[in-house]
Amino acid sequence: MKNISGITGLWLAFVLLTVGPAANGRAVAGPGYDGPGRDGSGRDSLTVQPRFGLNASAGLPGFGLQLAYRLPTRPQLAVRAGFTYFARRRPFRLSVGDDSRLSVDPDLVISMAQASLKWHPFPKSSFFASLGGGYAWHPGLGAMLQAEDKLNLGGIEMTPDNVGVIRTSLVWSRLRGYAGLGFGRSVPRRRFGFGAELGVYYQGAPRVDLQYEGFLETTTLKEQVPTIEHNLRGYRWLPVLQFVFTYAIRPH
Amino acid sequence: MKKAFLLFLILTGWFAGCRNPLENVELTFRKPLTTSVQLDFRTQGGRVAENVSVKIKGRDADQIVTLLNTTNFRISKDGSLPLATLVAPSPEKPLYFTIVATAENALETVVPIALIGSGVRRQTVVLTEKESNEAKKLVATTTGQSAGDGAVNGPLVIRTPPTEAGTSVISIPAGTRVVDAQNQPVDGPLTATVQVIPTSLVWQLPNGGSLSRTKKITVVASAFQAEIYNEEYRLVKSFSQPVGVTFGLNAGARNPATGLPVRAGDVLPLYSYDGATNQWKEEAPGKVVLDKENRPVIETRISHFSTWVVGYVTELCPNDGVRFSFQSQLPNDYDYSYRVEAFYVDGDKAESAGSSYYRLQNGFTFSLQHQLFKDRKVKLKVYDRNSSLVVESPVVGSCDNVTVPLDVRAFRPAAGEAPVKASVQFPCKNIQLDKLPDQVTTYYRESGSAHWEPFLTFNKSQLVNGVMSQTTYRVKKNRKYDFSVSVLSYDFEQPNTLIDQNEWVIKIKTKEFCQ
Repeated sequence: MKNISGITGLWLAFVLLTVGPAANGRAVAGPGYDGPGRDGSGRDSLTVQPRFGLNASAGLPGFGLQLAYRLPTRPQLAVRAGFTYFARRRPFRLSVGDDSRLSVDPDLVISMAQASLKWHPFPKSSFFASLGGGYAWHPGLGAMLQAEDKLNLGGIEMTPDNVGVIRTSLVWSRLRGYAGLGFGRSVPRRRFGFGAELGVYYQGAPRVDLQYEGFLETTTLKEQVPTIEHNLRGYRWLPVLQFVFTYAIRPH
Repeated sequence: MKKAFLLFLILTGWFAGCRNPLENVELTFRKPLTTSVQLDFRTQGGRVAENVSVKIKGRDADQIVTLLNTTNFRISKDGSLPLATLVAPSPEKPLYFTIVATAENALETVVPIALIGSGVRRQTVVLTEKESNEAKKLVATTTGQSAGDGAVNGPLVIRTPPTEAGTSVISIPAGTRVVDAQNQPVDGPLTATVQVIPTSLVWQLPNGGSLSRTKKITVVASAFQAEIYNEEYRLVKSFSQPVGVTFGLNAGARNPATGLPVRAGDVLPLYSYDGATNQWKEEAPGKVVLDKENRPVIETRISHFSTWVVGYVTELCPNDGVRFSFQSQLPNDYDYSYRVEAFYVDGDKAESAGSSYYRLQNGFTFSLQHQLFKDRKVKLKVYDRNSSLVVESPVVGSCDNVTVPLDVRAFRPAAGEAPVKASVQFPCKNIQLDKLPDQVTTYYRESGSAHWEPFLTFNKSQLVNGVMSQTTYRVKKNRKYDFSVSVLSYDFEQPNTLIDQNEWVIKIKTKEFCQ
């Protein structure tokens, strides 16, 4: 029975959501991974497994939305594509001494499109491994600092004009590789599901972009940028810890 | 739980694998580039011009930087702005650029500069206050337009405000092509300004009117500085055809050749000054005619824009000239200067030849080389700063190769003036000298006053056991001062500092400079 009416589908969904895993297991008779029926054919004698799922995630490195597709011929595999976004741009003040504050304008934005292949190796477990990549529209994290008023550094004062403006950012590669592990199905057997994923993006060593006007011009800071970049070369991995809320898109 | 532990391991590994970003980062002060241009920003009254913004424009603007190799052009408290070049200028490859100075209440000032060799070009940039009498009475501005080939769209007439020298007029006919010093058309909207140099203020002429080491303009019958520039501040240097100029003449001007007031038929010398190259040039003389109102004027044609002067030159002493040597009992570290004024003497009459300020420690000698007119009698007056005492030299020939002694042993520090030792003290005896700037300039002012005065200059060669010291009489005990330390044109200030001892110490707390 490949096709099923909308009313039957709604009823089945109701049963799945209200009766719980035991009933779920019986009703769909599905294996532990996203896909096939008991015969491994990808078909089920009672219902048609949804192929698409919508995943909303939150955690490191932000909030995301993904569309997942369970492969019909290899149901232990699913492909996912979506984006992740996080932004923190609200200015704040940083105290640097007696009545002295720096104004900090952060530009902390992660805006990334990603695609990955998800593999459920164990039929009776929702454990998965994932490989993929991403493209960052905003590949850096930065901030702008300037003095709001005179800086008092132990009796010595600097005017905002002399302090100047410092703009700094760490810029990684736009293209990134991804590997992760987790639990949960991207296309849940029930209408809704939940999962967690732990992974890491490889984004290359960061490049330091440092622009300033002011007293720092008198120093050799620009010449020290390669040393700073060398020290930062370990920051080439971006950890991922996502909690994922999944929704199965069922055919009508 | 297992998942949380795994997460902990991964994040710990991530952070543990990373270094402190500032590990092994060593900051030192940059070595400044060599000064090629020394700009000095002043008001018409000679004060330091404040809150001035500077742009560098023109063909080679991208080769002009600060001594820190930046384009953040900052003027120091004493009004100076040193500039460096990224490539060495030469006669074969000169550098052309334009200084554009603006300040809130001042007229925009545009100064062309051409560097054709090594050496420091010194240039004073004078800003005129918009609402000042000078601006109203001496400056006129008009606008025009030129096509892509530099041809002006209509007649461009630049007329000076009327002064004691009447009115001078420059008339550029429609279709005249205007080009810059590189013979490139100056196109687009044009701003034309003309500023009269009052005939009584000969010292306001560029370089004081010194044509050479032995010739100086001393009498001016008419003088103006005219400029035309487009929106990119490219300055017009010359024209495709000579343009007509009428020089109004000072009604009281006398012709030195005849000793009589200037009249029709007289031929008067003309001089031009090229601001870019900082050179005066003698031009073809002009013949005096009467205008419609029967006033004497010179009508001529000029082919390039410059400062133009109708005036007379006087010869200066060709040799070292007279020198003055001082006998003094002032302490060697007494750092006040005394006003010294030279006078030309003619019988009972004495006419000021100029003045300056010098510190007058025992044995100090100075020469008025190339500053005094030839074949004149001179004397020097020295004014005590702490009393009405004036010491006067005997009268001598201006070009005499003699040393005239002056006894100022009666000059003493004022009551209450006492030496104060000013020190910069590091927290260690052994300093990494390469981390320090070569020179640190300081300024001071009494707390509550507005204007900063130059104070002491510390050189790192003065460092002894982690301390740089100098003695000064310019601050007094039990008074409060604001101090400013300028490092490569950036300032740190120590306001409201009470000098309550005979020693004032700036303590550097960081051990960053210690070995």
